Amino acid sequence: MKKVSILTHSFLDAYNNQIHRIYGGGLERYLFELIKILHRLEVDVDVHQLSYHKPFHTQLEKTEIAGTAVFGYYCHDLDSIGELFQEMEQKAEGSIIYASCIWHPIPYREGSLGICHGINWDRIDLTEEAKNEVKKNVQHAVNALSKIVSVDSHFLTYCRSTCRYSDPEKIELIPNFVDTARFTPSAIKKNKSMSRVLYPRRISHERGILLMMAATDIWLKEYEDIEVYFTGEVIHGTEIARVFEYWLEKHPQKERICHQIHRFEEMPEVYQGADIAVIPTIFSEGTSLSCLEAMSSGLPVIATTVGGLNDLLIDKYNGRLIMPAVDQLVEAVGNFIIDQRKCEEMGERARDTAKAFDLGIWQQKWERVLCAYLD
Amino acid sequence: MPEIAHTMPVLIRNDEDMAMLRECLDSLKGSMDHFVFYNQGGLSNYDLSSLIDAYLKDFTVLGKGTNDGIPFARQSCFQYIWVNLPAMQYITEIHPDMLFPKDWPQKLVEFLEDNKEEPCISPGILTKEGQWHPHGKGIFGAQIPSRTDELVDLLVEKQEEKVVEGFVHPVMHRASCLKKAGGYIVEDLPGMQGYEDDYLLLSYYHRLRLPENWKPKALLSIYVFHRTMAQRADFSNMEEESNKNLQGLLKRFGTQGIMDLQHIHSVKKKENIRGSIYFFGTSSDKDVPFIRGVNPYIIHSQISKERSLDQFEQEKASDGNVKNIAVVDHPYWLNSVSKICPQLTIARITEHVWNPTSALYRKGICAVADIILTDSEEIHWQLALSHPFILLCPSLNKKSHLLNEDEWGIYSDSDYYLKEIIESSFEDGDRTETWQGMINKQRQERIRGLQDILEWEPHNEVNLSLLAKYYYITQQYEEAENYFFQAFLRNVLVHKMDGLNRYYPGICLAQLRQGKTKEALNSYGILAQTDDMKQHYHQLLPLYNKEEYEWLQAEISRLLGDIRYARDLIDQTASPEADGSRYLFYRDMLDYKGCEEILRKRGDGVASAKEHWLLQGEKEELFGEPQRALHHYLQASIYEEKAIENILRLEAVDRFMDGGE
Amino acid sequence: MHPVRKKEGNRLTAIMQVRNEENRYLEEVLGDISVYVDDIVIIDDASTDRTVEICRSFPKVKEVIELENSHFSKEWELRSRLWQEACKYEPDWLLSIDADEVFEHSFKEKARTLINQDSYDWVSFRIYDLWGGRTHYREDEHWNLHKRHTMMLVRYLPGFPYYYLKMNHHAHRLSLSYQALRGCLTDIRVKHYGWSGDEAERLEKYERYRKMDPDGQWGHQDQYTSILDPSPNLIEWKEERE
Repeated sequence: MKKVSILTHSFLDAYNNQIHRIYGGGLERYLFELIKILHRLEVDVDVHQLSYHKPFHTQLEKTEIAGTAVFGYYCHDLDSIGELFQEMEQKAEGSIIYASCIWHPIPYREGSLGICHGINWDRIDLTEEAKNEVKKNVQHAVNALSKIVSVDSHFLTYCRSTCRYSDPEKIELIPNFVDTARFTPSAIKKNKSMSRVLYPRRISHERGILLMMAATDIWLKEYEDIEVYFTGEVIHGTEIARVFEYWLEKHPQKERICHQIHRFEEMPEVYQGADIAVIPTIFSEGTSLSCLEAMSSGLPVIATTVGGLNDLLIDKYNGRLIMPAVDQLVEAVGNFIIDQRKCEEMGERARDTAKAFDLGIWQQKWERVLCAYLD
Repeated sequence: MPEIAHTMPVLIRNDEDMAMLRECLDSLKGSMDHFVFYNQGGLSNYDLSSLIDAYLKDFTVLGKGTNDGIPFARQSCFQYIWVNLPAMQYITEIHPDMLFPKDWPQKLVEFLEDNKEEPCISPGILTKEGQWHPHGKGIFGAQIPSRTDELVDLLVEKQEEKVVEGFVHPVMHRASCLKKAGGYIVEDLPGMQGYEDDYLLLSYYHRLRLPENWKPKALLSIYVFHRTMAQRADFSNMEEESNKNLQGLLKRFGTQGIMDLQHIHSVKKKENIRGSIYFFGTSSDKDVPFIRGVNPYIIHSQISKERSLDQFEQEKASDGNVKNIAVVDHPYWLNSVSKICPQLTIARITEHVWNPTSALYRKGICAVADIILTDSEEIHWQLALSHPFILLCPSLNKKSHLLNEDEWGIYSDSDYYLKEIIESSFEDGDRTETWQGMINKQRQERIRGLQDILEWEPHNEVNLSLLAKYYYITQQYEEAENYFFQAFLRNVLVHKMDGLNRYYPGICLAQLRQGKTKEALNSYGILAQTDDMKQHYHQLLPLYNKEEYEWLQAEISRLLGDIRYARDLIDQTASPEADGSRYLFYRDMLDYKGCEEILRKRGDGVASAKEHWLLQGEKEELFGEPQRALHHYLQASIYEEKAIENILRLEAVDRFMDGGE
Repeated sequence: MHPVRKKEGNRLTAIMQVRNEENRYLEEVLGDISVYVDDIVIIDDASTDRTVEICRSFPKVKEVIELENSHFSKEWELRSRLWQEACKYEPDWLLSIDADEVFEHSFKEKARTLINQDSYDWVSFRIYDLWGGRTHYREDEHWNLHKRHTMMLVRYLPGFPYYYLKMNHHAHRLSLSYQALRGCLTDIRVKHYGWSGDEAERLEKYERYRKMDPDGQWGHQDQYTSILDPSPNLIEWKEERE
């Protein structure tokens, strides 16, 4: 039986020291689906990841990928990721898939497969030195790996514009997926007094939580019939989590704000219960799973012009693409509320768009890549 | 022992009332006197009798368990005694929320035996607020022990052979006088409560034709504990009820009655409440000084804050002349302080609140404080550069004991200063003159003291630097420079490495103050070893070459902490190019208006927008609604993530206020 | 007005105190430093030979201050006076060097780099006592100056106080106050020729020390005695590789 080891910075929830469950982020769900394909191809899979409390070795129970072994490597310093990935590589069995951290200086095993989940160094305030460093590291990855799968077109353009390489197909675009049979528009026509704005992202800075909170302050003040629903993981103890929790606790309209973490199985219903989805990313975004799920659920989506979101939305056609600024976000929601018809129209087109990103398509593309790699 | 009858209306509303009654009866246990109770409700007459039976032998219960109002209940008791117990020589009015020391009536009886002209006498009382009435009204005088036996011990301990003017309950009446005066004539007093005391005093005054200058008296050789006012809170329409009684009083005694009352209560009038003093952040177990005529409130938690702020609202409504004084022991209380609009704010800044997290609040409290007390010479030095009035009180943070019991409850030198500051602000003249006098005296004394010590020990680095600092804050800059240099050299000679950062700022400032701009700039250059300071220094050099001396001096003063001087200088700087500097000054001084003006001139832009939100946030956080501050900071954090530090500070301060820190 | 610390264009001024150096190393030393310093300020402690004349023959010597009465028994006064005299020219950097000291070659190249910067204000070096010739230096319990750093090069900072302990002999060569500033410790070596003469010269020096400091007040008795050690521990001096 063939064997593949996936090297990643995150899979099980090692942030909160809860390694019995898969962390609720996009990367982790991606790996989950990838492992399913590998199993179908009768490939045995191990996962090697970082751990922030202590090293661990565990085996996944329940779920569709039960039995997968997961190894955690203690990471106390994010600057040591290169060395930790090398340690993983030395312990890993079979072929390797480098599933994250492409911008880090990782001593790759030559000819392996890599995945880029989007550009995460697209912060305008990042220093030139840091950006030059990334450039060096990506060039190194392009040299060392046999193929890099990119989830969006932007990494492709980045490589073409900053790296030198000869094989035009070395970076392959496989945009993210959504299970369109599972994420469907609500069958019942909504007739509620409240409009629900959904933020289906992690409570983190790059995902635009501050932007969302700042806009929420204004929506709740300006519109009496809006409620805002945050569903997404919190890394407890981080500054951003403390800010969010404090804001929730003190908010004068807190009865119209909800924060609830849902299991993945519950998410279709969460989308169905919402009227508008907001993906207000600041930086570091691929073809966001949440965005695709919201679109597949027929929701009008407001997203920012960051990373792979530009691959999914055409402004005012199948959703809104705005700059990451509070006033634009506030206005976009306001427009949706005023123009219900336009709102519904965009939701329908979003659903149509999502179908082009159906899970089946994604699986086929990946199967081809994997077969080529493992043969 | 002559025959005594005690009267007591009893209203049981809850378990607490019940417990109080039990405690009260327990303190009376064994008394051979006669007791007449009036059942105002809460228990059946049977239950009440059974209860009392466990404590007292000789008693009667009147009433039917309905609340008939105080005047009616008392009068019923009096009438019962006049009819059924005519031999009673003395009648008291006591309450179920009182605790009595053993044999408490004896001294009152003796007083009435010895002073045949007096119709009644009260003992002194201790209230649950820790005030000794009637003489110490409004003055915090004692912590109330939680144990009853300790409380009774305290009552006994405080006894003194002294008679003061004033009227409180309990009171012992000479039965014959009470009867002659008529007691509480219920036709005149139809309200549930209010003015009955005044009514009775007026009855004595007029019906018994008491001497013109007569006043009710209290005997301080006996003290009773009175929780006071326990029953009043129950009447939702108290004002209406007491108004009825006031009408009756006026009908009976006319407006002359009011004039007479003013005379009768003139003792009280002399002790008029002059102000309220709010101690913010003072731990509750720490004694606070009592200052005559000033009501103390201690606010050390969110709960005590709410309560005291309510109190403030009431007082504001009732008397516009009452002065509010804030004494702030922790800078985090800044926001609450602004809510009581104090006419005088005294900040007490001790070493243990001097940490980087509290820096903004400290700036804020210094900005609003009229005068600052501190226990640390280092803080004293630093704040003296930014605040005109600061006094050093080494004992500020020490557990205190009562120094002077007779006049003032003064516990320490810092209380002494506190009293002086407060008194001076009640007087008509310019209070700052008094303060300046105190400050000058203190500083001159310290300089003389340091000079003396240095004569014996001329190389003591610490004292050399202290002397330099005192010379500086007393505007003797040449001396200051000289002593800073001496301290620096001593530091070098003992091979310490921190001399430059310790003394060069002082050297540089002292040179600046002497007008030695070039020397000062060189000194600043020597001091500038970090990248930030180096950069700043290189920005200053061209100012010197352009002869922008005020601007240059202002910048150095600001950076080295002489904020007062810096402010004067920047105001003299005409150049519009100095707006950048000016903005930093205003920001440092929390002059939000000044900041906004400059921002407006700067126009739109990301940096201005961020600053604008930060300013709004800070203003709300320190002086307005922290909730709104959160919103403003959030908006700022869109421009710069670092702005969430402000939200984290809000959270930390909140946690502190909830007692979590 | 110039910044107190310049990153470029710094002048280097050597300061030196001399006394009866005619037949010793003075010419060699002045010749050597003339290569890399910009000017030289010298104080002559009442020499009775041609010392002053020799000094003045070097064009970079800006001034020779001649003292009529010897300050030999009050070294700190001499150091202090020299400092003041040099500072009146508002120099940039001062190199305090004695008339029997020579830097190893590499310093000539590094000197400009060491002074044209704004992050430290003094530089220290390692001084080696060459013994009985120029091929070996002495290293033992009493002779180990090279194991420590000696501050010899400092930036002149206007208004910065200078301070010398009142030591009659073996006074610090530069103001103690520089210790409060940032410095740079280098391993650049300085050859001290003071003990490189023959045995007779050492004996003479020994007797001079004994006379001026009979109680060992300004130095160690043991160290004085060790001057006469017939077989001191000598280590070969190796010039650095070019």
